[in-house]
Amino acid sequence: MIKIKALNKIYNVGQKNEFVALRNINFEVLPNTVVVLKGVSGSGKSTLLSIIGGMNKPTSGEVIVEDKYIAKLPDLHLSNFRASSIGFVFQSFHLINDLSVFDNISIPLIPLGLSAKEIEEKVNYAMQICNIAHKSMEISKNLSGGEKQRVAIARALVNNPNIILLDEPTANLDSANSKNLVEILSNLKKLGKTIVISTHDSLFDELDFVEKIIYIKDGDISG
Amino acid sequence: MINKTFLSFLFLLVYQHRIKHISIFLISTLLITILVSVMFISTSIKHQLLSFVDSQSDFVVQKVRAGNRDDIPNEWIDDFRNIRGISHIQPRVYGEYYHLASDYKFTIVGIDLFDEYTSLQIKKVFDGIDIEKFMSEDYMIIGNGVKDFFDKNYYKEYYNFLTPQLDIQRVMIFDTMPKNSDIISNDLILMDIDLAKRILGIDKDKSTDIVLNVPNDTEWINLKVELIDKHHNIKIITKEDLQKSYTNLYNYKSGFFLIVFMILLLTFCLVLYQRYSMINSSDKKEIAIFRATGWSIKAIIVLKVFESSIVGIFSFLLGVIIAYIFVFVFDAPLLADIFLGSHNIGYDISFVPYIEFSMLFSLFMFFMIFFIASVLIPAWKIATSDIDGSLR
Repeated sequence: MIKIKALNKIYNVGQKNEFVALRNINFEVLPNTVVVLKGVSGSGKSTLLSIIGGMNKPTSGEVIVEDKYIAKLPDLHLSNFRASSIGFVFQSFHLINDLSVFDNISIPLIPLGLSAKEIEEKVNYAMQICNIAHKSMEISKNLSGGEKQRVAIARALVNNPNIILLDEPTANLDSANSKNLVEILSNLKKLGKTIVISTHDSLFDELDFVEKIIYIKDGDISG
Repeated sequence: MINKTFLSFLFLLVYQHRIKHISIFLISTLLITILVSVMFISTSIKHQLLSFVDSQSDFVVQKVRAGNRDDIPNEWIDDFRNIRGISHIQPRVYGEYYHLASDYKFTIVGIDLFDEYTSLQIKKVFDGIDIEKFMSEDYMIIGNGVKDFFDKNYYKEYYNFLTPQLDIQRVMIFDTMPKNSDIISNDLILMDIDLAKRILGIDKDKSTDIVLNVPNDTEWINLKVELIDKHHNIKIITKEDLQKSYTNLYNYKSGFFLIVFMILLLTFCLVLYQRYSMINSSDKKEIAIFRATGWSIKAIIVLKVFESSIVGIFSFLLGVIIAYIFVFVFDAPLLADIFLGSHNIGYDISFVPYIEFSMLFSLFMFFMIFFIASVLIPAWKIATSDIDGSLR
């Protein structure tokens, strides 16, 4: 499903402030598994996640997701890839604050040329999975952290992608909301999704549905 | 990609971004209002003047002595009448009547009301006029500016002109000129030619100019030569000359405004560019969110173009509507004075609605290209930049 081969990411190449974020990363994620990228802040796990999500380009190496060499895809194909294969949940949710929950979740569907009815069906389904349907018309800026998180997950799910990437999903949640998140992730796995989580939270260490934990330190896989 | 849901989302975004757009919307509406007002005034005046010129005779011949206009003897009419191609010829009296106490000047035009062609022209302008009654006594038709002046001085039914021989010549007010001809007729007094001669002190057997019609305009150049052959000391003003001078006069004025507008527009574009290129973190984030959720650069650009187009189109339309009301309902206070200049009689001009849609369309295109480009360039820059970086 996801193969990373000899991946390097260097910022400001050749400049005084050159910085190696990822160094010779190799790993594989099988379909319908949950993989945790674990490391302290600044270790490079978020960069790795954004490269897998096609939002950042590696300096060298190969990123193969669903048989696509995504580092080499032109913009239109990369956008299609993001729209069809990937659902990304950001650490700080990145919702459009002035839009309602429903409108935020529908964003990935807008450029697809779907009818209003199709969009409504898909958004409602995503909201049900994430237990946020009751806040459908609420403006996003009025939501709590946990609710925002659920909206962000619903938005990531709405296109029915095979892969869900979550960047520090518990960083802005209290323990109760973290538990809710774990429940949602468990359900997503049951739905056949492949999930990659970047986190430093020990909560994910003991989850029975997590197949693999990859430790990252200073841009290297350490264990 | 562009379907009903895309458009619904677009309008939703425009609504949500209304605070961001409002300043640009107001500035651009103001600019469009000013420019379109100038355009409306200019085209309305030109249209009225050119319509007036169109209804005039093809040639006006004046006698010149030592570079100055001199009265023309009536025999000259017979000299010219024999020239082939002239369909109609008649004398005309045209002169200024100075009102000493108020320092105002009226323009008196004397026409031969017995002439069938002239009589028909008058009937065209004044629908239902009783020419026989008009000819039966010393009557005059006056412009609205003259009427206002007479009213203020309690001359409701007649006015007493003072002839050069210091005789009083009472002339009854028969009618007023149509309001929509004010630009031309505001200070005009129309009367019988013999009455005009008495008031202006012109000999009975002379007139100030001779007007003639030549239906075949390909003959105009030849005809000019023939007229000069008959009398070399003449000045010939053709309808074309009048059209050119009016067009040049108002093109010059609107050209001046166009330059001012260009400077304003350029400044506006810089402001606009700055406004959108200094995109704040929420704008940047929004574009990055679209990219992260699978929107292509093209889709984002289309969204932004549409978003700015809606703002641009609505501000343009609002500007045009305000300009229309300002010019054609309120008669463009302040701006009208710049165009028409000071006038010796109080001006109360009504602009006749006349719109050159081709010019309006050109302005619209010109405005929208600048408007969209100013928004598009910064949006494109962000859309093509690193998503990850924009979200951090």
